[in-house]
Amino acid sequence: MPPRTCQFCQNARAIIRRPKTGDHVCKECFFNVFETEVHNTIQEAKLFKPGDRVAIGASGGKDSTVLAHVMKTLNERYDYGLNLFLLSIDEGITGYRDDSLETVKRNQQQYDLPLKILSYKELYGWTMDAIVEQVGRKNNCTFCGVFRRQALDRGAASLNVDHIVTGHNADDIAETVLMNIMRGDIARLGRCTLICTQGEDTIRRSKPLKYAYEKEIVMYAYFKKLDYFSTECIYSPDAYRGHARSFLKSLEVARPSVIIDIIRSGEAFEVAQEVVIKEQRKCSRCGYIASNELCKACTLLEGLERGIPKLGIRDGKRKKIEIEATEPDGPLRTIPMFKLPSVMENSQAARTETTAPS
Amino acid sequence: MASCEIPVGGEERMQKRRKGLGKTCIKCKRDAGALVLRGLVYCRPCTEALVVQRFRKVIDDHIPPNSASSSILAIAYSGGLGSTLLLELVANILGSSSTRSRKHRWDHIDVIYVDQSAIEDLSGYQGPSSAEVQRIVTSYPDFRLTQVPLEACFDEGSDVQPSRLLRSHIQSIPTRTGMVDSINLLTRRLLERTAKSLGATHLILGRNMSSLSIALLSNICSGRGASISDETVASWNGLLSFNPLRDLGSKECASYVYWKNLKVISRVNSLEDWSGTSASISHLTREFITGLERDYPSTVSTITKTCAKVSPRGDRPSQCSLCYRPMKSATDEDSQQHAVAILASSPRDAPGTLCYACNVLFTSSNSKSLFSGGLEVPMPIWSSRPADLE
Repeated sequence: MPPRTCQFCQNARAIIRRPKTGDHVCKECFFNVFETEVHNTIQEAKLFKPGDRVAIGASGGKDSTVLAHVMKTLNERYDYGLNLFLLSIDEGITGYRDDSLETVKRNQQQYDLPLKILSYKELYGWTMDAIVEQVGRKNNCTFCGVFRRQALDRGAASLNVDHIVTGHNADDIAETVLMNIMRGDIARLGRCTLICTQGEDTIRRSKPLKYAYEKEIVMYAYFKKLDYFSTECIYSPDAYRGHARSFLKSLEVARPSVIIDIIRSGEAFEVAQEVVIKEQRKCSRCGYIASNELCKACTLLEGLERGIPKLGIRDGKRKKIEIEATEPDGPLRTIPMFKLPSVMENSQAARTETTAPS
Repeated sequence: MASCEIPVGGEERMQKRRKGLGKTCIKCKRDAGALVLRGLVYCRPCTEALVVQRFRKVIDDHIPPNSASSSILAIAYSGGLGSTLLLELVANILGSSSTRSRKHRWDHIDVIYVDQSAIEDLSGYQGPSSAEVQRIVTSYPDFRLTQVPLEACFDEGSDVQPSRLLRSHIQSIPTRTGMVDSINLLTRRLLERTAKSLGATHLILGRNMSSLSIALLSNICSGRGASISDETVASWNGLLSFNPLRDLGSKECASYVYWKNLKVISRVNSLEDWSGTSASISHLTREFITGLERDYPSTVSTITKTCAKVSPRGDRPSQCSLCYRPMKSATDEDSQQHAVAILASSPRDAPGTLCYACNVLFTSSNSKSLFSGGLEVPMPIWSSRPADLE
């Protein structure tokens, strides 16, 4: 059989069969459609406006490395007018994050973007290694998830950006739709397919790779010879998500469009009943958004400091008894006060002015 | 990349299989247990009572009891586990047309059987024979049996035989997933249309909690999220169709059928027994859910409950000409396409005004698919008629 020619340029030799569409494409056309799809996604959702300061959540993994590369390319090609930054969180996991951060530091040189690294150690006084030592492997992802969310916002605030883009890809989103249905998590099901999430006082989060297949991200990184780090987190234990992931992979073999089809399904429905969302307030200890007196991170941190790590996980009567029973040995470490980035404060002030009665 | 973002208590939220079970029934606390249901032990009389009670509750929820107006009930029968149980429960619990039941009164009860023998070689599924179906249904004296061939979905008036039209419709679909999806869709529409032509007000289907959750999840995987609520209860042209066994797992259904010595004459899985690129999404979903049910017994009921709480987002003013579910206007459906995927060649034209998922049926392929491009796809009778005539 003669070599196939690219279905786009009808000229170069096709070397890739696109996992998403089955089209036979050459390397250059693959780069071009991949980037254009991300650009179209950004335009369709009106994610940015000129002058925006945007932080790219960078872990050194394939998704965020491709995201950083594509964002920089598109920003120049289409003149988005964005100020881009790299923002990394150092969870303090030896043998995983320390190596991947080296990759991020090289990326900073390669892409010439300012980089901010914020560590759990400097923010909370605890590394994930130390947390796992205390809480064991079972619930440690709860700590890491809560701490990372807040760390990203604090890192963004210190860079004075009001928008974080993350490398979540189409496979991640499809998998999350399935997980939320199987776990009955109605509130998350309603919002997990949104490309951009933003509350009243929160920093915007967007997923420009929302429709990009994981397989294509790997191909893009490989053919572009991007420098990325590929290892799974050594503490990652969610067996249930593992089931969902392998199920999705087997579905993809049967019909590759399934990933987009699941996202489309998720976008097409909404939660019928009103889900009661707790009123958002500010944490009395660190000033971060919270739904209780204390934010989740402060509660978890207090548990760690007092040596009762289940504090933030357990609810009800038991929690109170344990707090009364334990006397802290010394002063508890707490998280520094949170301040919104000044770009947001200005826009909030402007909002207040315009809504004030004349 | 999101592999570690677990919501608080994520793993705990899933109920795990319990260990160390008692020997006596959890309900009557007297008889020896006969069955373990979602980690609890039940005796035979209590299981049977549970089946009857849950069946009755769903019936009463959808058909107001003691209503003055009489109604015609249609039962979809396939010979499988659920519909076999459905015949038995309707005959013995709800009462028949001659013996007035305490709560419900039926003018007739029609049993509809869709004969898929015209596509036996395509689907690899050999259904029960017509005589077998006849024998089972006539063993209930009050039921009237209507057998319809699946090719009745296609027009008899044309010079090509309806069975040929049906076959080329199915063969024009590139994936096995699409074929299974399409056979299910045609069967559903044919059941609704037949029930309507018999004057029925209610159509009951034999899906239990397990098969319903498999159907819901595979519909989501096929892009049918917008019409997910219609899978459980749907109303079309004055006909209400629903699943009275939706609160019963396959285990209690199977036990009831076994204890009452009822004959199940059709196997469900045979339609889907393929693997690799030839596997269908519904087959993979069935395997996945069945496996998950072993370790996390609550999964199945969680899926049905979650899907009961969602509704379509935004306006859906049009109707898909194939599946008859509400859809966005065609331009709205297309508008986002370029953000999602840029195609090298314009996609094969889908026949008619189709919703997202029905469009995917004809256009989405996998590495094994052969495109039969250029051929005109024959469509069922209803897709060419204006909705108001239907």
